[in-house]
Amino acid sequence: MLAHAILSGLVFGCYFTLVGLGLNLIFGVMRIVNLAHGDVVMLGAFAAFWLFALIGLHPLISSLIVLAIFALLGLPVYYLVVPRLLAARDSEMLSIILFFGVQQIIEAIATIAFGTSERSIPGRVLGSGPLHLLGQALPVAWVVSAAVSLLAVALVYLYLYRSRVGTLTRAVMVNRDEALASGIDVHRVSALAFGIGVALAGLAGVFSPFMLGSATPAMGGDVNLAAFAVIVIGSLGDPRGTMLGGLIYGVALMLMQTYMSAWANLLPNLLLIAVLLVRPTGLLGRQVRRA
Amino acid sequence: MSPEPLLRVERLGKRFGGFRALDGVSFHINRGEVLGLVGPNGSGKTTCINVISGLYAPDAGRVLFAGRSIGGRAPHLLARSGINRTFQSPRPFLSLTVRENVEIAATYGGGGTAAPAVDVVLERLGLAAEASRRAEDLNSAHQKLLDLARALATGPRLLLVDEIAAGLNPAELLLMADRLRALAADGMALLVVEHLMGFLERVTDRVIVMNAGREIFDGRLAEAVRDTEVVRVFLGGAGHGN
Amino acid sequence: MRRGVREFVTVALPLLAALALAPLFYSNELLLFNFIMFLILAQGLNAIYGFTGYLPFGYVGFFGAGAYGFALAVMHLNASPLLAMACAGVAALVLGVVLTPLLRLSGAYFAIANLAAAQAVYQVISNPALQDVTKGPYGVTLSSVFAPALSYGVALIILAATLALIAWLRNARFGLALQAIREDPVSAAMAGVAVVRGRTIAWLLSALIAGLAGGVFAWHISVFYPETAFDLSFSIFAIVFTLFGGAATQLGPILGVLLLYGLYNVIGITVPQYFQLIYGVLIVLLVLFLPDGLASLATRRGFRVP
Repeated sequence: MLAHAILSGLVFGCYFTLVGLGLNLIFGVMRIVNLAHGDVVMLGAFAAFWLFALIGLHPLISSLIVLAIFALLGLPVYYLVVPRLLAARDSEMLSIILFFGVQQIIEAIATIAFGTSERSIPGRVLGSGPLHLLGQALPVAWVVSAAVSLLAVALVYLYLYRSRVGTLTRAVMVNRDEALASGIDVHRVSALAFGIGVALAGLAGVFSPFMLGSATPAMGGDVNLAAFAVIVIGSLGDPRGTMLGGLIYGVALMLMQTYMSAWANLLPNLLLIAVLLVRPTGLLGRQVRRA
Repeated sequence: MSPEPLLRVERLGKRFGGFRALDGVSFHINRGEVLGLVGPNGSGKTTCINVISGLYAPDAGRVLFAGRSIGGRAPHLLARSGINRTFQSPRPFLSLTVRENVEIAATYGGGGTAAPAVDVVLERLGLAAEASRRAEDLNSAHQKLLDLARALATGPRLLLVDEIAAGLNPAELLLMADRLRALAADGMALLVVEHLMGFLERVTDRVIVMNAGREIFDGRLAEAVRDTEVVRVFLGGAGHGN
Repeated sequence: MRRGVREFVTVALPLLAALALAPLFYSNELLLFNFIMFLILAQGLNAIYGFTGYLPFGYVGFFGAGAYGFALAVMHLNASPLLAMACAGVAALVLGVVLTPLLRLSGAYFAIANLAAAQAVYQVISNPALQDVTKGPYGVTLSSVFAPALSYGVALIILAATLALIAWLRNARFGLALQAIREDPVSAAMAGVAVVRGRTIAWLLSALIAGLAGGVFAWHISVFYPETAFDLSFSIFAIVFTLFGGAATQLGPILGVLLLYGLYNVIGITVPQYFQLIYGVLIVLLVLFLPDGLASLATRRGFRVP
């Protein structure tokens, strides 16, 4: 049972990495908190559901469509709100409130458009029968979702560490003002990161019916909490930390569900608070100043 | 020379991760003395001020203020007992008025009897006309003065001044130098971190040259520029000119 | 300080008088009570957000703790309503003390951790495993102490005390010190302000206010579920009302509650999604174009807003 819990925890951990990745990329580059992240995940789930229900599209194909469309949707949102937001004195704090507003807008429109009923995609769409991995049987849908997540993480890593624009993106992450002063087109870099962040949230949404259960317009809040836990554990703003955070979160969640299932829903919150209090900047974070 | 200096720093150490910002620096300041602190970037000058003013706790060594060990004490307690500082880039309370900025320091930090009245401080620094303006509406020279006013309102016996001359025009520089000298003439001890040699020459009685977290010279500025080790450290740097 | 008294008399007293007399002319007492409750919550949040800059996204945690402090005192100790109100305050204060270490965090970290803390308290209280103590997810019934007129009056007294506190903070040197901490904690420390103590006092005051609001809420409605008492909308509403009117003033949050909660009641009850939509758009516009609230329209022109 322990081996099964740990292995499925690692599989879920890969997926939770994807859930947190977009949120963390946006925070890292722009120092703003996209509180609407969970609702973008929800929109991704609904997109996958309708594409499957109406034209029978396979989720793996839907995920490509969602990636492209969500990235394109993210760009106008960026230019409409983010530059103005960053000009404000306390943009980090104000961003929480602003994206709460965006979250309300998305949730209201989704409720009006889709109603409040639960939507799901059967897991067998991704493959039937359990898959045997290291002596443990796991649903194929889990393994496929985790594999797609790992691929997405790898692509983001290549983007940040092996491409020219990725180098510029990391420069903005380290010091926005200096990046600006050294002639980097900070807004273009940020808009790109914002688009990618939104697209990653959408991708996480496509696989959420298999990993998080059926989709409803109100699911965003819970997704947010999980995403926050993941990225805070790993260090806000550091994309490498997200993988660590995701795996810790996934394994802890599965252990809790196996051995203390009544209290499993407490986990993200307690883990998040505990990590913040012990290491205020996350497990990979650097030391902060006193006072 | 009084037997016990106002401030004595003994083999002070402070590291950040693997980097030794302070590596056993020692010096002292007497009452009414202006001590300059010079050295290349990263030599530990600002860290030194941060430790003395209580923002960082030292890892090693001692800080003695009027004979008592104060290393690691909280900054607000040090402010109340007579140590204050200015910041390299001024940090006023932006949404409050100039008067409110100074008032806070006078009411909370002015524990000693030496604390001057708010109006006296504003008058002395030429800020009286700006008293009811919000700090964020001041220009940067005025913000520097406000930072200094905030420090003075607590009636410090030791004032740590971090690069106050940077960005001032020549007339403002002369005025600032005179103000600092006047404070010393009243018996205040000043530790002045500065790059501008002309300003240092005008203001300081003595300088400490720092390199790699420790002092390499202690004496008059005119002698420092002839010291071979100092010249080597500053080679091609800010040692001459200005 | 005289100015504080004057501001309380000119701003708070008329409001309190109107709310005291309103039940004589208007029959929907529950709606009036909700107005009082949101006025208390917005001002309580103002004490921590407006004066120290910490954004307590999980402010509802204190409200819920107060509501359950009241309920548990009534159910298990057979406490009188006033004693139970004291328990509500104590419950919120205890939670506030437990969460004090969160003040070490800054910016988004604090907001997120506070939200997580409120959720954690909710998950403990609503957990079926604790059904014997808290009735878990099935909610509590406190009909034995139900007394709407009395609890309405007590709510008004709490509001009066909260408004007096804000008027005091706005004009006393302690309030000025808190604002200095908000602007720059390092500089505030160098001005001699005890930063940690100042923050902690504001935090506990703010927690106490929300706890009392939660207690009187439990008393007034007498039947509620954990998801009612820990509804995240309480935090959000309090934040948006405060921000909309103008934080760190006494008048701002009052205007925010009267205008926005008024709007909510005009359109929100019948078609909640449309209200949610309007509300979301309003928040976005507010942050982008008027981040310092309605009060800043006056302060920018050199007027002082009480």
